[in-house]
Amino acid sequence: MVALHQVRGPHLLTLDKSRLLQLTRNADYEAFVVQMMEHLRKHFPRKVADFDDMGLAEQIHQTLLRAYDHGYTSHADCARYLGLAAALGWSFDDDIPWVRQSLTDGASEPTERLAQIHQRAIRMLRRGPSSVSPT
Amino acid sequence: MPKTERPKIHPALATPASNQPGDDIERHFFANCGPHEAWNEPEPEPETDTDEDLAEALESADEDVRKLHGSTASTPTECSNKHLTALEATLTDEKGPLAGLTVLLHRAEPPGVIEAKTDDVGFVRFAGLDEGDKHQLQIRGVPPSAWSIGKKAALPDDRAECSHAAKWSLSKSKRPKTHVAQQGESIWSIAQYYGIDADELWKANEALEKDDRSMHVLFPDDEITLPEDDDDDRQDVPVGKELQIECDVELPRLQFVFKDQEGKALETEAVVVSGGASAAELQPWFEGNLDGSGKIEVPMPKYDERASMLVAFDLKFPETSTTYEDVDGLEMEHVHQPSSAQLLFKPGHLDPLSTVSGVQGRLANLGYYSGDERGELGPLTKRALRDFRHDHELEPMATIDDEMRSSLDAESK
Repeated sequence: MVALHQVRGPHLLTLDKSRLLQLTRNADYEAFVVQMMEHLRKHFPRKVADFDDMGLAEQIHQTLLRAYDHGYTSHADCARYLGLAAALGWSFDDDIPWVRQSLTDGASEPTERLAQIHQRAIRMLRRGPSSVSPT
Repeated sequence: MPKTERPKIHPALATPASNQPGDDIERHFFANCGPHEAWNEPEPEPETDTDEDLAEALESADEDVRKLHGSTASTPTECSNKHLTALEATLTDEKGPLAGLTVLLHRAEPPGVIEAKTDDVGFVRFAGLDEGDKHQLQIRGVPPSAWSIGKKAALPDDRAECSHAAKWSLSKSKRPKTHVAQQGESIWSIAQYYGIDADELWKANEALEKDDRSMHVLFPDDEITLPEDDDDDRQDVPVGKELQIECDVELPRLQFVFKDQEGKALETEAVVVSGGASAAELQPWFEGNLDGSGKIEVPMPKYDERASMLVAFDLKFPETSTTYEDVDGLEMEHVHQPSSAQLLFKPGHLDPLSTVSGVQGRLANLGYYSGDERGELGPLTKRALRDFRHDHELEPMATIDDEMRSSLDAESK
């Protein structure tokens, strides 16, 4: 596994090592972000094709912050959250009303809620175009 | 590192090698020799994922997800040396708050954008902004020359403090390149939704005119091209502030004229305009009095609310008195108690004029038709057609022809 600060992309000057270190706090988190970069490039290659490695690292970091806001800290939940974001749109948790509502539904545990969202998203994607998104 | 050298990254992170000629000299050489038909070129992969692809990707990704253990726990928090703050703005024009405008906050480095819409009082807030970054504000459909920052005050501490960074989007804008028209939409309503000038939007789609479309009439599934955002439409803004933004912009308003059965305008009756998704969910939206000539002008409801909105007018007729003499020569006064009437209608749902239901909708809006013969030329529709034709000096018959359509179209605008 490569350390995040060793990753180089075309926009090196926009996000150098010192800025990157501002975004990350410890080696474990850094390693997880790199692991998620591999995960997204493997499963959602076209969705992340436009990102260079630096851009993708920051997008993952921003999405993890959002996941954290909704109470997701386990690696499994975070990875599932990232997968949904890659598939449905990086602001899926704000833009899709039923997702937004489900994420704030206090009736069930966060992990269970996310699993339900994941299942529903798959069902709706199979149902046909634009059935996931409200518009 | 020379510019042409590929970056040294972990093999798993490297993007797949491209099909540039230089990547595989041998293959490139043979690809340009002999009859090309002999080569079974691989079919190009589609550039975007289908919904089915995404569903499968989500499922296969989940198999890997189940193998993950551990936690990010408290790790994804912002570095303590970053000071996060907020920016609040209230947008007004000379008539009052500007609701439903799309406001974009841009960050220069690393590039990012946040998009928000003003609420009913023209207010918008962006939280989690780094004081060290450069920010620019853009109001969709309003050029920088048409808005200026008036009052500027520091945000109180409780509103300035933010614990999490803003949710920046790396894409230039959330606006897609095209929009597929739905039932009831027009160039104007689409322009309002995306915060684009309606004339500019129509200019980008004028080719539709040859297919009998207009700014007011689109067909479901028409693909509307959305012009790109202009980078010059931005102004630098400070963060940690509360801004009063004054706009010189004319936002559309709805104007209604109330007339009695004889066509005489009502005067100053009180009217409450309510809106909601159904009759049971109506919420008051505007209260006021007719202006003396039966008119009332109300701000347009926000696009999102309008999509399935039912609008109700509660008209309160004032107490009136009539003096007359009864048969015994005694002067009597008869007082009419205040009364009210509720009128309901659903805006933005007109079918094309080429359909019977489209003609019925327009006749209903003009007060000629009120029935439920949707799409059928029933007796009520025929009567409405005859009345309309009579009033517009057309041959009095109960049919729909081009002359009738053109007259109805002109009257409906």
